[in-house]
Amino acid sequence: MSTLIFIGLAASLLIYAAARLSRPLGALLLMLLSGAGVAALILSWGKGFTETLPLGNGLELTFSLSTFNWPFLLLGAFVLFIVSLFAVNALKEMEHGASFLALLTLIGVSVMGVFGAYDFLTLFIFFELMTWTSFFLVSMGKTGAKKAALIYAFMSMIAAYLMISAIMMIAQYTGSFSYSDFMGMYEAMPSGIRTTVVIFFLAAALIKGGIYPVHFWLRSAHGDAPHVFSPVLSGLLVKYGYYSAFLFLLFFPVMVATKAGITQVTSTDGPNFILAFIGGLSIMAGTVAAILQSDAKKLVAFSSVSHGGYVILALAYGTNMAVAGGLAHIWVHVLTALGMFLSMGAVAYRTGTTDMDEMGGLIKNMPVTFTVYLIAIISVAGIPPLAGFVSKWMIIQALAANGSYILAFMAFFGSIGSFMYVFRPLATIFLGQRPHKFKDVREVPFFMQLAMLIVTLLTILLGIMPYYLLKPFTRIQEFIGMVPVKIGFSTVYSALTQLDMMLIFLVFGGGFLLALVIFLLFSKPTKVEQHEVYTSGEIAPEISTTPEIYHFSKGYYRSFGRLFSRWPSVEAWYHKGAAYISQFFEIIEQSLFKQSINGFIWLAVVVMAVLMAVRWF
Amino acid sequence: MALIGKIVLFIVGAFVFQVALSGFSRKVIARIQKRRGPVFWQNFYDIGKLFFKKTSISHGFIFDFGVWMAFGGTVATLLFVPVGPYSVFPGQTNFIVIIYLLAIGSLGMAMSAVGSANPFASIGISRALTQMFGYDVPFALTVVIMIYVHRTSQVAKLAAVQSDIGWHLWVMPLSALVAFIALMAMLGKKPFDTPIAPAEIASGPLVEYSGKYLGMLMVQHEFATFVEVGLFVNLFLGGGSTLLIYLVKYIIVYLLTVIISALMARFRVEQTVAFFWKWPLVLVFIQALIIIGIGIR
Amino acid sequence: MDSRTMWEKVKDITRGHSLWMLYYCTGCGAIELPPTMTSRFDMERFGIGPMATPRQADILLVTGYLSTKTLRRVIYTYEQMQSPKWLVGFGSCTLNGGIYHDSYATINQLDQYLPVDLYLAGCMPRPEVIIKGFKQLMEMIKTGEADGWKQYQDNREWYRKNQKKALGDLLYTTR
Repeated sequence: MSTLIFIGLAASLLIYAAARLSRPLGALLLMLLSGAGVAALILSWGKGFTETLPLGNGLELTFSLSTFNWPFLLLGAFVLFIVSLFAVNALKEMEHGASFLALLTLIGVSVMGVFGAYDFLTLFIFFELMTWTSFFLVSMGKTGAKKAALIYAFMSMIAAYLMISAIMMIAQYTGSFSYSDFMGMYEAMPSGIRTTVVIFFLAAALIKGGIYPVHFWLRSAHGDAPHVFSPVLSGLLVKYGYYSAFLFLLFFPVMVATKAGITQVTSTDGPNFILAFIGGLSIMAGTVAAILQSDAKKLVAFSSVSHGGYVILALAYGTNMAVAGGLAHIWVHVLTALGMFLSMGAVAYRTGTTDMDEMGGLIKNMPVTFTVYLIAIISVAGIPPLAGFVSKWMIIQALAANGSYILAFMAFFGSIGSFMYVFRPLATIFLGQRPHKFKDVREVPFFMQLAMLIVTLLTILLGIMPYYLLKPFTRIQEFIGMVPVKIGFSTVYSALTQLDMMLIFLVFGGGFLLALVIFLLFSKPTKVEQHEVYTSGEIAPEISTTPEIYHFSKGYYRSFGRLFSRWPSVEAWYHKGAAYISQFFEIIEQSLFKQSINGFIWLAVVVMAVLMAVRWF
Repeated sequence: MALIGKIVLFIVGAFVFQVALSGFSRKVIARIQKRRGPVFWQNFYDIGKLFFKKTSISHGFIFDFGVWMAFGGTVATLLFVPVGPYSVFPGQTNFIVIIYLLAIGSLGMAMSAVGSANPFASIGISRALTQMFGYDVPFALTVVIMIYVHRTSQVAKLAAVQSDIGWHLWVMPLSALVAFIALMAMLGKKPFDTPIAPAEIASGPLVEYSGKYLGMLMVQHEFATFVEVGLFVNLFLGGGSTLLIYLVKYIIVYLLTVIISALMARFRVEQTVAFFWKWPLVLVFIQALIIIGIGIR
Repeated sequence: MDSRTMWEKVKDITRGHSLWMLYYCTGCGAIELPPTMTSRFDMERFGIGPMATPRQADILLVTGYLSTKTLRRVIYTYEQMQSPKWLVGFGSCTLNGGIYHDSYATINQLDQYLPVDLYLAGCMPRPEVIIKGFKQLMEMIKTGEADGWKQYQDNREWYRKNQKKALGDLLYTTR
């Protein structure tokens, strides 16, 4: 794997050079690389290895491919594969296309490093690689992206400091960075240190995963990043956060426990419950905020907050059903986030906007994009027979089986609320009256369609055959010594009941056919123009107005928003705090560095010196 | 073969029964308003007439597709609900599957209605989704309590278990009350008929449907009613040991919703949501505390 | 001689038993409809009910005089309805202009512009007349006599000419 990483680093230069020549060529190269990664990972199903890369001075980086990180590595390669396929056409008008592709390749390297790490140092180094590359990637976006990137970098810095402090604590106690040493001494560790380490790591995971109280970077970063990069952010980079949550909530605690087939992670009460509760709050806050957005990409960003909540809730809840459901939900969210962000990117590629209030009726121009979005949202809303239903069903089963009413309430809240927010782009972008200015919009080019259709196809297939969705995760459960969830080819068994996705699919298909037959049996309908609707006797062309005034999109859920108009907003508090702090520093600036820039340089030097002193000694 | 026969029997039986019953309910409303009302087979005439219309309007592919999806989804849901002692797929009457499959119908209809590009339809759909967010959460929670207590989420088993402990209506009265209110909202009965307010937004989602489209959606609505009332009967009134008992319970519950609805005025949509998140939700949590505290007996 | 097949007769019977009505309240006649619908006369017992949009309706009830401005909306509304559909002229005003027969702003005869299947004469007709008229319309539908929608299709040119004479050339056609 270390060779792979060097190959990746070299490839990023190569891709940069190729993309300077022609951008599609660079994107195709990246696609081939990541496609090879996907293929290699699928072929290496069931195999594993560990290897080290000495850095000198007694330090070494350890990598491993094993059951517990196989699905995550696959996820990373898959996302890059899809996105680079999408980028073949999508990068045409971008300003820094070549460096974009080179940085995207570096993200690929960080995927291998983070998910493939077998010691904390490697984990941290590649985490930072990801942070900095994505900082530049985000800042390439539309207006406001620079600020979004700064907020993102700021939050990532906090996460990084939390993480490095935890890692230093581990290293101080165990004397090495290795996972296995940490597991070996996990039980013997003083509980104070262990708790601090876990809390620091989980806090970093929450920031990275965009969970409720620290989610606000997602809004700007996902919303303002380049349209090609948003799917990576939501499909891949927040998964780094989920992955560290997975490590500390599940992997380490269970690996060190007696391997006697436990069905539940050891400590479900207390801290874990609080974390599950935070996940639940994240579901609710993300859902409500998403409903009230009017920018399509920000809406999807908040849906990511809500889905991250599901993952954290399930992992923290810790029964074997919940854990399998939560892990499966990571993959489901990859597919849905890709589907939603790619289709929004496709719309923005052709129309140049993501503001839902401006668009309408685009289904006539972009039927493929519409289909992709439709399938993605059916999965997001957790409607059978698609993949999203399986994982949500498992999480809700786990919560209901143990009578966690409040958490079940939160899970249902997010799941039913998602009908509302996913429907809004469907209604206001793709359906309804089409404004005249979008009359000549065309469907996106071939490669973009291909990328989106792969995602759609996988969403359907994994939904009908949940075996392929769940098998990697039940294997993780076996690997770490948890009782795996019982699954069949198209069935999932819980303590309460069983679920047969194939049956549901067939019955639904049958019902659909019946509807089709009844429909075709009776007289043929007449097709009409879009403006021929009942609007109380007024016909738009006659009173010389444009049809889009009959397009209901502005303030789609305004009446719902009125319910929350008086509620406190965490983001408003942060804004207030930031204003306060900047006021404070303004005073310093006024008094010390009024005249020249030199003062800043001095300050920077001092800070650097202090930081270096703290880190090195 | 037996399975196909069963499926056909379920669909046809539900259709005939529910359409006749909703025709009869028009008679009931008429009697409340001191009128005579139509004959009870009036709805068959209505549906027949709609299908026999010589022309109808289509607003493009998604307008048609949504109707198929709504109809197909609802018919599929119908087959997962146990009717008295019978169910088409024994062991597959999973509650969560049923409520989410029902959502396919709603989503299809929503898509189709918005696909008509009519502003009234769009307003109606945004209200319908908002209202759904209100009532589905407390309703789902009432069932989560049951699922936890009885360790099963099979609707058939949840119905059968009540022959030992008594109806959930008596065991969990608060849950039953909440579920009944939610049922009224699901059926779109007053005071929860904001989405289809005819005098206000010209019947909302249905504004552009004509001829066979409207006919299919009427049949779909009857099927959805059969599922929703059926869920209530199964979950709170113990289902039925014979078909007749089940249907009698069904008729009583359905007519009760009709009678209450005839006496009510209409909420605004945010009032609906605020109402559902205030009283029903609180009552459900109180019920959960009671169940945790004293158990089922 | 009745040339309908058995199947068509069945269709016409269902049509005759279920009349959904869109009432276009242009004039004073609309005030007679509430008593017709509510408990005193109870129109619903014949399967007649009010509908909110022309797409769903079978009968367009024009209650009273029509100014040229409203005639335009009536034409659009009628064209948005789906056939078979029927038009009922209500009150003297739709027959011959009634007390507005010499007004510069109203039209006198509705059937110059749209095919009227049934007139309810009177100024204004009482609910008893409305019920009786509807019963007659139902009989006509069941026997297949009421075919104004067909006439409108066949004599489109003639109707359109009259419509344009009253409304000017700017007349948008929906169907």
